[in-house]
Amino acid sequence: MNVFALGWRNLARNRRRTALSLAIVACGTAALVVTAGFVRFSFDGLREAMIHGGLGHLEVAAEEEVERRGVVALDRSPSAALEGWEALRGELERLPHVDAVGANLHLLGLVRRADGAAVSFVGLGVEPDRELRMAFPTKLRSGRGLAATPPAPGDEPVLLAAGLARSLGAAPGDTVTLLMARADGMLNAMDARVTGIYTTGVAELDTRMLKLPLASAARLAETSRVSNLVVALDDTSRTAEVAAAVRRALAARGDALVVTPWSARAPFYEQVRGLYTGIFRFLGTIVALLVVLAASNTLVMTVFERLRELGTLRAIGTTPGQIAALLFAEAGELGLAGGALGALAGWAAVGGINALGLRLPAPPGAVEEIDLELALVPEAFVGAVVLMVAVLLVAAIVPILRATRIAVVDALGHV
Amino acid sequence: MKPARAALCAFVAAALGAARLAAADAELTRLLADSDPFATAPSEMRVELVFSSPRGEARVPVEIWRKGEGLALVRFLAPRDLGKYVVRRDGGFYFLSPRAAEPVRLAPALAPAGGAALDALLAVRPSRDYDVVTTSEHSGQVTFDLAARAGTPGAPRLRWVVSRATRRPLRVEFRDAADAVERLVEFKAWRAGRRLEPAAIVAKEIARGSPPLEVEIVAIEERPVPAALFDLKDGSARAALPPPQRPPEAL
Amino acid sequence: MPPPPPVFRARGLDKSYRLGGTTVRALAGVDLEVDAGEALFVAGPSGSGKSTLLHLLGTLDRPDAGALELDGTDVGPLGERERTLLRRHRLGFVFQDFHLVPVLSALENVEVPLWIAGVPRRDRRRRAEAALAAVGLGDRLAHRPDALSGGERQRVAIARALVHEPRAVLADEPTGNLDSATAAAIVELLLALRRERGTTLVVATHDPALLARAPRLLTLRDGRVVADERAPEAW
Repeated sequence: MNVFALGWRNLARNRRRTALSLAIVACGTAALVVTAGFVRFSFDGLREAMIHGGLGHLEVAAEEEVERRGVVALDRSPSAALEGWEALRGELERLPHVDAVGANLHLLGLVRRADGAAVSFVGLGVEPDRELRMAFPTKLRSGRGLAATPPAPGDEPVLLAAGLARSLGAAPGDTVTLLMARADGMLNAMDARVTGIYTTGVAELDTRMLKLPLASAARLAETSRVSNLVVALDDTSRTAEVAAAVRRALAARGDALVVTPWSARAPFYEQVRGLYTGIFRFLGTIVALLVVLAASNTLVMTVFERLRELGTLRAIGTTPGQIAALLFAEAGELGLAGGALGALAGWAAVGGINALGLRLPAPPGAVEEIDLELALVPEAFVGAVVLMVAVLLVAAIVPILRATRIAVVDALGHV
Repeated sequence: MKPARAALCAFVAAALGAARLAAADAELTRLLADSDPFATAPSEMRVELVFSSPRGEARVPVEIWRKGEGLALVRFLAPRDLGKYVVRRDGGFYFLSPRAAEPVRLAPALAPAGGAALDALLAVRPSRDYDVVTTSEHSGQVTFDLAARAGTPGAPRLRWVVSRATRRPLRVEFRDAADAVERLVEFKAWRAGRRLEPAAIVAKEIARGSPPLEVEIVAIEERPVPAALFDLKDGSARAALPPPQRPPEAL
Repeated sequence: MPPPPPVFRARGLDKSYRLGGTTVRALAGVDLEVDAGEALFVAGPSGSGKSTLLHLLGTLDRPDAGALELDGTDVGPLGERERTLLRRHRLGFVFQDFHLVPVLSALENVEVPLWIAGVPRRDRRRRAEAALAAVGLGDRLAHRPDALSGGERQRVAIARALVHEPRAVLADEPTGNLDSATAAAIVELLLALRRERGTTLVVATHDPALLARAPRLLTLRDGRVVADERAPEAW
């Protein structure tokens, strides 16, 4: 005989009440588990969208490029400070867990079509073959993407983001003229053929963005340098490990370059994460409070009904501490059983919701709907059950105080 | 003193004063005219220049071909920029690039800073096209505040500062109608010789907020300028221009 | 060698309760000594203070005035925890309503005093089985209270009260909920166990049949001792 065995037996005394308590705890647990799954889905989705939307897992850039980076990409002025990058890229691509390393050249200028008005653009010179290897999909709306083979001079392809194409009235096949200033201020103009229209997924960026093959961008910017190298990994969880390896490689080469993980370049992600985490904690607090109130009520009633029994135990020499241990064990078991049931229910709910194949509307600023795929978060399962046990223990405090503070003779005489 | 005599004295005094004033005015007018470096500049000319940033990191050699007041061609002489031109015609600026089939019209704010400043300087005729609003003198510098006469293209107002001793301009401020400074040109050096020919200026686009540009004026040469140079469609005349005669300064 | 102190020595015990707006004096200056091995029956009409006296003797309550010694130890200055431990080791209780734990079997109910005292499992079990055998329930070990008759439940309660070999057993109306035959059997059991073990017994009852068999009878009225009679030692 021990307090836990006694606790289970006491729970079984009033099956209906215990079942109701278990249901409350289970619902609370399931709610937390499902919500955690949604939050993780949101984080994962946003993270992977940012990484595979062009951020990559790591960025290697000159310090001046990193320093001049503003909060909003649209306001950043381009720089091409990374020279001798091909050799560096080759070395980085040999590191473990590196899928590919792509060079980017950032551009800022004006684009016009025929005699139309000039529209400012934010451009990116990319390596289409590397983008493919890095799983950076270009979401084409019409036309074709950029070819892997670098274009010959004079045959410069360009992809326009949907909003920019609309402003220019441009369609695949049209020729546009790009105008930008070099780092030294000298102007350059270059004709480019629109091969396709794409979307960045963000409405605001769609009004300004365009993409060129790196060779074309280099001819427009009249530079052999690039703005940064973007490193894509085979596993996001390896980011810190590979960042350290890249830093070691750079130090060995004597390169004073800065390695920045994706998280440091995605303040939006951190803001969303912070917001969602706050909401989740708030929800968790609400759930915990509700369970405390409901369970407390149940436990108070239970103790009330057993006051005489508990008084008897005290009469025959059971200390208040031992009484408390009995009741805490009972409450903890209720939390554990309810939590376990809730975890099971939560697991089933996650599977069921995912099986429905629901789609969520496009998030603010985004363009496309997203598939709802709740995650199973092991920490949430464990955490929710632990929370429920803790909550039930807290709920037991008042009933325990009642049971131990009442005079023994009053308890004995209680009916 | 009898009234008639007093009146005569007043008249004489006024006449003398007016004559002194007129003499002073005439002297200033002569000073202004003397300090105009391009008063006798030819209407068609080729100017060879080198623009550089104050620390000298970038040096851009260019050639400007001018035909009258309305046409100007800036040709970039650095090897990597050969084939690029800026044409000013019909009140607008056009950028021509080897990689673009059509000329790109530039907003005034995008016209190359140094070229625009020099162009404005070459076109300005303070004594011919402007009226003196006020003058002031301090430490040997005479400041003329000028307002453009009707029909004058270019800046509506000028502040023209001249050294009384050398009778050469020290600086000119190109101002808008509200008298706000848009552009500042300072004359740093002069070429030896009888003609008033600046050898170096510093131009600053105040309105754009760009850093100052130093302009070394290598040569000003009077020569006939073919109109075909300014043709936006046909670049053959430009392509036929002789290659740069002196080794252009490398960037 | 000086004689051992009485198991219970009470001097001037006073206890009052507030009932609504009035104060009821349950005990008024009660003096009492109960020697080891003695069987004291406390009689009196309802409200005479019998239960109150048992509560005070059992350290379940504190007197308003007076002193109580248990085996020579003054319990007055003892704190709640010390009193609890005192009860655990030296006293056993039998209640009118049995007061068994419904979710425990007969054996487990009897084990409780040993369990809370930290007695190891095997020892606990052996002693509980022996106690139940002593009360004639050796074959009902696994039965829960709701599967036992009233008499059987009270036997279990008696076994629980004796399993830890207390100095005294306090029984408050032990036959109150039993039929007369069962009641008589229970009293017989109590007295027999007292003879076998020498356990001091204090029984509060108003059952005339029990009172007739009292070796020593203390009569209370309005909180005072009005009679304290010893029967010839025939038991």
